[in-house]
This record gives sequence, structure tokens and C-alpha cells, in this order.
Amino acid sequence: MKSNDGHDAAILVIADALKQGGIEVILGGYDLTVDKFVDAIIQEGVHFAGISSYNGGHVPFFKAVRDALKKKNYPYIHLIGGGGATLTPEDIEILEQQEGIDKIFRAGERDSVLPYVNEHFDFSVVPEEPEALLEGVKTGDELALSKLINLAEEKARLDSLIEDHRNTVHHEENKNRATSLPDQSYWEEIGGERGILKTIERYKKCLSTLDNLVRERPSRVFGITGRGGSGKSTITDELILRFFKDGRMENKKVAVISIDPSSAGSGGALLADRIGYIYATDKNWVDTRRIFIRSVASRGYGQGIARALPDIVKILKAGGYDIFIESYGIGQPDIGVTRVADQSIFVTTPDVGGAQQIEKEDMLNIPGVVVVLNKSEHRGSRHISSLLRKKVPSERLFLTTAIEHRNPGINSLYQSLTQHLN
Amino acid sequence: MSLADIIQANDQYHRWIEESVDRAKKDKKYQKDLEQAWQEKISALEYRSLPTELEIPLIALPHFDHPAQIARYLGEWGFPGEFPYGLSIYPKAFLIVDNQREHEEPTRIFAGLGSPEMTHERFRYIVKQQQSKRLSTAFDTNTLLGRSADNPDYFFDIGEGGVSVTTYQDVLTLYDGFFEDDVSISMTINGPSLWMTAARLQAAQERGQNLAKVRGTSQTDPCKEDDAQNELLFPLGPSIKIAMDMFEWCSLHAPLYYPINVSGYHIEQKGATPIQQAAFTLANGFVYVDEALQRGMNINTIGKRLPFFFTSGMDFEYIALLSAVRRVWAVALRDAYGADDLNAQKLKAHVQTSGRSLYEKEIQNNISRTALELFYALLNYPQALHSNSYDEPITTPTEDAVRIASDTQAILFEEMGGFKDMMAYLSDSSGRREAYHRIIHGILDYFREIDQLGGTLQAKADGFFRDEISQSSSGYDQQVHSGERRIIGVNRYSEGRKESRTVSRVEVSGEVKRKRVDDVRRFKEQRDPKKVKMGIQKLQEAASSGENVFEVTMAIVKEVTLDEWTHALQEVYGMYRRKI
Repeated sequence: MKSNDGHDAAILVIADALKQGGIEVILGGYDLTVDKFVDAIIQEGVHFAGISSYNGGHVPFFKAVRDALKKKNYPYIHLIGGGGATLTPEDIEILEQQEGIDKIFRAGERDSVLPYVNEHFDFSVVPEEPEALLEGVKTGDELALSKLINLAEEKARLDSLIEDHRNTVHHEENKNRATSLPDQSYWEEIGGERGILKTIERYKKCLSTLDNLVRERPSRVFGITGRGGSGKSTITDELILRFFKDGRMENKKVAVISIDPSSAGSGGALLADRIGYIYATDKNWVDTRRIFIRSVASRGYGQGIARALPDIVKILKAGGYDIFIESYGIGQPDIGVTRVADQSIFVTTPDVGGAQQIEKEDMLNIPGVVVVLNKSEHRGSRHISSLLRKKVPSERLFLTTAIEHRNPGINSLYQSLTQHLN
Repeated sequence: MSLADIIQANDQYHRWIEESVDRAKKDKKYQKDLEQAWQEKISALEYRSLPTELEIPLIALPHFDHPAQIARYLGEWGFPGEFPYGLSIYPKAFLIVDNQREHEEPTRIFAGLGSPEMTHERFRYIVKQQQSKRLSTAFDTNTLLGRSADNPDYFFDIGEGGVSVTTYQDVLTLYDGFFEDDVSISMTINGPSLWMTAARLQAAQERGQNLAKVRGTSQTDPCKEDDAQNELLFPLGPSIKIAMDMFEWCSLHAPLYYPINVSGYHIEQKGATPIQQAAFTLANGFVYVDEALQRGMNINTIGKRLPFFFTSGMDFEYIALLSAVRRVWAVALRDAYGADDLNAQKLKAHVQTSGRSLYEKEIQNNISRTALELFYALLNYPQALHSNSYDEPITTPTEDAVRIASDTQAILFEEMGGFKDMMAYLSDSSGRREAYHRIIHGILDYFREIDQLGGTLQAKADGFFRDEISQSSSGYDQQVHSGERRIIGVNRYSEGRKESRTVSRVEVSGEVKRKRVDDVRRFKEQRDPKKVKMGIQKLQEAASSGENVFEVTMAIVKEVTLDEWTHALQEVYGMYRRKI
């Protein structure tokens, strides 16, 4: 979703309603250009893209997005939009009838967005020819990467369903059945998805062929974790900015995998980290052709990551990317990210609590973890940093103020993380 | 100064009122003094004869049977024009006496669309309808975000919803013929405000105007951007710093120009309740006062130079919102900050009717809504007033709608008996009194909470203001949705109402947009690249070393365009991170 200006209230209301309805919503950003919006759609592999526009100038904007997606052969998309009363009935007619926009919602119609999405979401658009994507992955074609990641997420979803099924069967004390795949009647029950299993089997084979490629293309995986609000997105963004200003990184590409929790009740999610990457998505600051950002919902997997994460990491490694994983933190233990990352980074803040809290923090016991005390200008910073010093050696502890541009703490952190990268 | 000091001053003032009321019940001499003072006011009253031949006094003064009531009236409200300015900061605000008004009519109509040439034409049309020449400028998104009109990525946004300005030449064109001492120019701009103000002041000088005579204002309220609009170019800290650079510079060189407008309007539009609007806006105002004091500016100078901007909406609180705000400010300035110049204690306010209260459905009902909001606004005696055009939910206002909006004000001021005849004729009504006291309490309660969170800037950094506003916003939404908040013709009596619209949208043609791109390109090509480069370098040096950035902007604004200025400073300060 994108908003053309600061009027974001309606976007957030709709995003929340979709989330409550079980949909994963990615906030694309404010005031996007056509290019940025299309990049976001492709990298995120979304099925619906919504534009909220309030200021006028929207008819040509919608049209330009539609044209750009066509040009890039993006297959899945439903384009929807709204923005209140500045979209006149005449505009709506032009957009829906002539410009191939699927649906424009008028002021007061926000309740119809969720039913529309539910009605028009089609599982059959998910299967791909995975083999055909491999070449694209090797050359770093963003659309191929995105499609393969979609399959990775689809596989993870099915694995979860099968696991749930086994657990249910297990409880019914039918252990023989529990070891086999669910039968046809099960798939009919959950929506007739048996056909996709074949695609997933092919996907798995394809993924194993990537192993060689991954070995040939050494890349580093940084896993950033910490509580919500500790500044992970800002730190990631600032690190990426430095990466692109660093002469050593001229030929390198960066991918960001940003994981946010799914709602336990509805299964929906609001993935908003992309908005926080103000430098990483702006071509005035970085070479956006060398950066790939993907938002991922945890889908109840726990430990601050998603079931599909190892596959996604593998695909992006094969694409030749160095990777930042931004894990989510809702408490402890969120240490799942340490299993896929070469270097774990734990972000904390001065309001974390006292010595007892720090004692309990599992992340501090991960060998080689880098610890960032962000918001170090806040009260309590001296106390917390001295407690942290007892747990981690000083060369792995960084005091930062990430909201300050050119912050020396972030500079040191970047230098330390990249000292072995060439 | 912390908010705790301001709360204390207001609490003390409240106690002082109660004490003087008590004294007026017991102390005979005090009773006599009060009665005598009151009698003097009454004897000094001028009378007039209305067209209907009814004789009335020029000021509405209540009848009191006991001196304690006089003490309360003077403490709570003060006479019109007197401390604590509950009624008005002027004694005869909108009165027409002998066919003359003592103060300028408050009408200020907002305009801006397409190219500088187009908006300039609209300005000429607007001033024809006004006695005093007051222009108010809306800028397009590209301008507000410091982007050039020739940036191909944002071609569609050129001139939409406001005028497109990128170069010094654009500013000359936009205000051509208006660089006069009797014209006041207001610019609704925040992030790029320093550049725009510098261009406007340089242009005035170039056209022969003395800076000491230049009148007008720019919004420049980074605090409320962080709370509501989300359209800053640099992080909040540097944004405040450079705003204060301009504030300080103008106090020395352009004394009639108001570079900062502390704005509650956008906070309300984002969803704040009236009391949140009042409390948060005042809190922001005190941030600027404190910053200016830290630079060694005099509190009397500061107080005189910080005007405010509020909404008047459909909610009951608006009957007395500005009155309450004025009192809290006056008491704070006088008793906490020690401002002894009366003009520094007087909060000057521009009020605009609420855009959020207007609806697309049965769109002409918006004319009534706006008229009633104007009425509530006028009861509070603001210094300037903008009425929204009824077609704003769907378009940049059409000429007809602008005329109706401006006429509605004139009908209230000039045609209808009341504001033109008798000062403060409804001002201390029981309903206003109730609202007034409850709002003051509400404001101080919020101050206490903000103070406990570590003060205004800390509370902002922790998201307190935004969270509060966002909760109110969804509450409001829910009320409209459920029908608890009745909107006539929208969720009430709306069955079978027509959906069809009767106004068409104002559009900016591709031709106008292409011409903008050409004009800006030509301007950029014709400059001396060496001068541009040196200008940018000077600017970045000033920003890095903490010098006055506005002074340097004044020196380079003729060459360095808006987008170049923005990017140069972003390289030093970083970009603003919009909050969700």
C-alpha cells in the first residue's frame, strides 16, 4: 500500500481491518514514486497493491504503475485504490474501464476492501514453474527471486498445515496415519490444494541445486534482533547507507529480510518495516538496483523468525546478496535468527530494566554476538552499559544514537561488522 | 522553563482569583474599589443607534449585584483587551464604528494551484474582494517536500493541491505586484520554510521594499509536523534549530514578519480532540519560547513574535477553545516567564474552519457547517480567519466556492447584527463559561502528563503525542461509522439522498506541468554553476558548524534552488523519519 502524502489515517484503518481479516499487509511507504512502488510490489511478491491518493494527479499515476508492472511481466497483481472524494466518479470510470485498475474504493467504502480481497484472492496463481526461475535467480533477476521466495513461503505454509494435521491426528491416537501425508479428504477440507504439492516437490529439488551456487558466492548474513521500538529498522537503514558509501562494496548487493509477527488470532500481519528504510529505498542515497527488500510474516513460527527463513536466505545467497535479517522481538527467547545468521546483532536500550533483566537475556550468551545499546543518549545508559560490559567484551559492544545522522556509534558498528568483508 | 512551572503559574493564578473573590465578599475597601472601577467602565461606555433605532452600548458588560462577581469576571476573563484576555486581545475587535473598523477584517483566503503564474492570477482575483490585502499560499507536495518541479519521478504531483515553486524566479512571479507594505503574505510551508521565506524576503528587497516593512508569515512549525503532518525534511532536532535561526534573524531584520506559526490546525485534522489540539499546540509553543530564550532573546520580543493557528470545528468546545488557550498562554508568559510587555502576553491567533468536518455527500451542507464554525470562531475573537470552501472534500476550491466562503465571513461581520455592533455580546455566556473552565483544566491535565513523561520533546520522541492523536482519530471514525456522531445527509437523514456531485474538479493540465519542468530547467541552466557550488558549500559549512543557517540561505537563495538547498542540508542533518 502507498500513500501519496501525509494523510495516512485511512491507510492505517484499512490496513488494520485487512490484518484482522487474516491478510498480510505490507506498508509500501509514503509519497512513493512509480519506480519505488513497482520495486516494492515485485520484491514483496504481493497479490494486491493498493494506492491511496488524496492530492490529485492520481489518474496518470495509476496508469503509470499499471504500465510499469505490465512491462516487467508481473503476473499476480490486482491493483486497487482509493483516496476519498478527490477521486471523482469520472476518474473512477476511466481507471476501472480504460486503465485496467481492478477496483477503486470511494470515501465511506473502506469496509468493502476486506470482502473484495477475500473474494478475489486466487490460490491458483501461486504455482510457478520453479525450474524456469533458476536461471533468473542466478542472474539476480528480482522477479525470479521474488517468485521463488513466494514458493518458499507457500511451502512453509503447507508444512505448517501438515504439521498441524499430524498433531491433530496424533492426538486422535492414530499414529500410523500421522507419519504419512494427509489424504485427499484433508486437502479438500482445507481448500483443495493437493495440486500444489507437486509444484512444491519440484521447488525442493530446485532449491537443492542452488547449493553449489551458494558455495560459489560467499556472502555474509547479519541477523539483527531486539525488542520492538529499540531501533532495529533505523540501525539497519543506517548500516545499509554506509554500505553503499563504502568503496569496498561497489560490486556488492544487499538484501534485507524483515520479519514481523503475525496476529495470533487472525493470522494476518501488518509489515511496516519497509517504511523505516528511508535511505535504503531512495535512489538519491543508495543504488536501489543493488538492494532487495522482502517483508516476511512470522506465521506463528516463533523465536522471532519465520519457517521459510532458511529457504529465503538460501535463495538470496544464490542471487549473490549479502543479507541483513531484521528479526522481531516480543520478549524472550527470539534467538531463531542466530541459527541462520553468520553474525548476530542484539539491539537493546537503556530502559531495558536492571541487572536481573540483563542476566535473563539469552541473546547475550550467543557466542560472538555483537551488542548495540541504542538510544544511548537516554537516561540510564551509563548504568546499562556497565552491566553489559560485564557480559560482552568491549570490542563487541556499541553505544549508538541511531536517530542521529552520521552517528559515530553507528560508524564504529559498521566498521566492525565489515572488517572482514571484501 | 518546564511545563511544571507553567502549570504552577496557572494554578497560582486560579487561586488568586478565588482569593480576590473571597476578599471581595469581606473587605469593604476592596468592594468599593471594584465597584468604582466597574462604574468607571460603565460610564465610559459609548452608545450607538442600530439601523432599527435600538440604542445599545458598544461593549456588552454584565450586570452585577455584588462586587465578588466583578472580581470573578475580571479574574476569569478580563475586559475585552485586558489580561487574561479571555474575551479578546483587542477592546473593539470587529466593531464597525462610523462606518470604519478599528482593526483589519480578519478574512484570509487560502489559494494555490498549478504554476506560479496561475496562482498569481488567483491572488489578483481574491484581493479584489477584500478591503485589506491578505494572501495565503498553499504549495504542492513537491514543494512541501523540497523537490524540484523538474524531478521526473514526481511529475504527476506538479501543481496539484497547491502552487509549484522551485526557484527564486518562481517566487518573484508568484507574488508579482504584491511586494507592497500594505500586503500581508502568508505561506503554509514547513520543511522548506527557510528557503521560501528567504526567497520571499529577497524578492521584496529586489522590488524595492524595505525589510523592516515586510508583512506576512510562514508556518514553520516542526513540532506539529512531528505530531501530525509528517512532512519534515530533516530530523526534528535540526528542524527546530534552523527554524529558530530564522526566528532570531527576522526579529532583528524583518520585525513585522512572523516566521513561525504554532499550529494546532493539523493536529486537529489528524484526529485530535479540541482539548488535545489546545494542549499539544501550547506545549509546542513553549518549546519555541524556551529555545529562543536559550539563544538569549528577550521574552517580550519572543512573546510578540509567536502567533498561533487553530481550528474551529463542529464540537462544542470550539465555543471557547481559543479563549481558554489565550488565558493559559497569558498567565504563563506573564507569571512563569516574566513577560511584562502586554503585547507579549497576548496570544494572536489565526483560525480556520475544520476541513475534517466537511463531507462529499450532500456537499452543499458544508456551507452551513462552515458558517457555524465561523460563528464559534468569532465568539473567540481571532485575529485572522479562513473559511473553507464547501467543495474542498473533492477538489482544490473552485472560484465560486471561494467566493461563497469569503462572502459567508462578510455576512457574519458586516451584514448580521452582532459582531459589528457590540463587542463581546455573547462572550461570557454560561455555556462559554462552562466550556472555558473545562478546557483550561483539560489543558493543564495534559501538561502534567507530558511533564511526567519528561517534557514535550521527550514525550514526542516516545510517541505520546502521536499515539494520543491516533486514538482520538479512530474513536472519531468509529463514532461517525456507528452514527453516534450524527452527520446530516451522511449518516443521518441520508437515505435516498443523491450521490451525484454538482461541482467539478479543478485540474492541472499536462501542459501546465510540462511548462513548469521547462521553466525550472531553463532557470537552472542559466545560472553560473560556480556560484551554485559555492553557495551549497557555504550552506553545508554553516550547518555543520552550527552557524545561522537562515542568514546563509538569504545569501544564496537567488542561485540555489529549493531542491538543492534541501539535499545539501540533508547530507549534513540526515532525513526525517516519518512515523507511523
